[in-house]
Amino acid sequence: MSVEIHNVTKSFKVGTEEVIALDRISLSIKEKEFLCLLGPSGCGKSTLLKLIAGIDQPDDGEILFDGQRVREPSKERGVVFQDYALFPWLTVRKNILFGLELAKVDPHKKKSILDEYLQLFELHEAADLYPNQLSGGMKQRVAIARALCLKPELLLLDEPFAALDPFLRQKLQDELLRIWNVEKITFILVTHDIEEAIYLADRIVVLTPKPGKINEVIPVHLPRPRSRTDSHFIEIRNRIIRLLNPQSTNDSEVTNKITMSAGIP
Amino acid sequence: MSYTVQMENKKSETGQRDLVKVNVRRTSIKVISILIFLFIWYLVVHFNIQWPLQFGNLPKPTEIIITWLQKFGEIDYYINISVSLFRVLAGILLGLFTSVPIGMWIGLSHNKISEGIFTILELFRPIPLIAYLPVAMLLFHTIESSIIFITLIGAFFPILINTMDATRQVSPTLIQAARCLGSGRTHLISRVYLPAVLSQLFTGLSVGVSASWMGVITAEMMSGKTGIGYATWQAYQLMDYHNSIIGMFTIGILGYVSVAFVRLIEKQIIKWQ
Repeated sequence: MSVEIHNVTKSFKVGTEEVIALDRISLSIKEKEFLCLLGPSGCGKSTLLKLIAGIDQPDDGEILFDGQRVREPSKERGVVFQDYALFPWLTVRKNILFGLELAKVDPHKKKSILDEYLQLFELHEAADLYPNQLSGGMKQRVAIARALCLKPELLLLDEPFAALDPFLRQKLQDELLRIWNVEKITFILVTHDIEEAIYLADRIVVLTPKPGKINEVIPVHLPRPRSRTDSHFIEIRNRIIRLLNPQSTNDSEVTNKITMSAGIP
Repeated sequence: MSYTVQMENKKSETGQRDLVKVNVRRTSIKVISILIFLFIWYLVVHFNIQWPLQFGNLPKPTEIIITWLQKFGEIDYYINISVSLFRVLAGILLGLFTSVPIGMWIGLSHNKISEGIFTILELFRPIPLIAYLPVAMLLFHTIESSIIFITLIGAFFPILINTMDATRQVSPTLIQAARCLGSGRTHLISRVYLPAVLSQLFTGLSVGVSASWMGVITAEMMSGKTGIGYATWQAYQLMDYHNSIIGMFTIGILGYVSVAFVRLIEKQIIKWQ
């Protein structure tokens, strides 16, 4: 698995104004890596994720997946959407099976894959419920299971925990790391939560808006499980805060502002 | 997590009990209100009330009920009902098979052809069903097919508008998610767009069924030789007021039952809401 992003530019028309969401972005993503795209809203991080998925096409530059140019979505690149995007008319079981049925997997194997993921995400008891009967956390589990059961080489997650309360969010972050260890594939996660990025990522790509550019790529070498109160953890956090707010000198003030906007109490 | 599931089961159990209570209450309200209506009707006729309307001219509800009970033994009554039912059913099925694909297509495409067709359809939509009748007579060889055409028109527009509207409102992320899971164009339409618009399609269908009934009764009164609409009009012209009132109520009940039937099917199909 390899992802190469070369000089990718993407702009949108907002009314009559042309907004550059991504400005000449280049990045290469390593095999089995946990990568976080971090930045404030409007920095183009979700746009970049959609381009990698193949949902949208860049205006300029190219994205290569295993050496092949990305032109359309593929089941080799699983996507988990921010609002879960579960099919409300299908039960949990059938939501997970949606892709498998299209892939024409033989029934016996289909059942074993389904069982494997119901097990992995502790969804057995909810298998016959409809999405509107589930809590936000359970919906997110189903969405991840649905993307993973097609055995993608890359999983793209667009702010997967943004709508969840902080306690549940931390629990699901641990769960995500556990899944990542089981699956041994590349994860790319978009977030605006600095601590989430440091807690999860091998590398953090810090993006800044107007126009959307890569500010810096920060490797996180801390051993897992990571502690949010560890001095190295806080050091990285302060560094990112300074990157995102270069004018500000008062660290604590900035911290408050940013964590509040990220939804952490 | 098993705890959450249990909680939900418990919730649905008590929910079911509440539902039974609500249903009993609703049914009793319905029955009582009908009885009160019949009683008032009886009184205004019995005391020959002439103001504000000439209620005294009407037959008493008791007479109507007696004639109606006799009517249940007559084969003609059932034939007329079945003929009208068949026409409505045919019109609705034809309406469904035409309006759903056209509605989805207009909802999905943003080209000049679909816009043009939509403009033409919008011009026809406000025309009352009865006004289609002369053209229908010219277009079709038999009266039967022109009556079915009118019922088709009745069903067509409400289903079309609702399908089109719902298609446009399908969440783009849902479509993106399906594409990422390997869904192609036909699969998207049958497995994502269709279930996504189903709820609103049923709303259109219930409105369409009512419109179809209006259409069939009008057409039968104007040009039919059979059907419950024809029978009702015929009874009036023969000054058989009992039977024209019975016809009127029969039409009402048929319309009510048809819509209730559509709602029942909707509940069977749409289990996820």
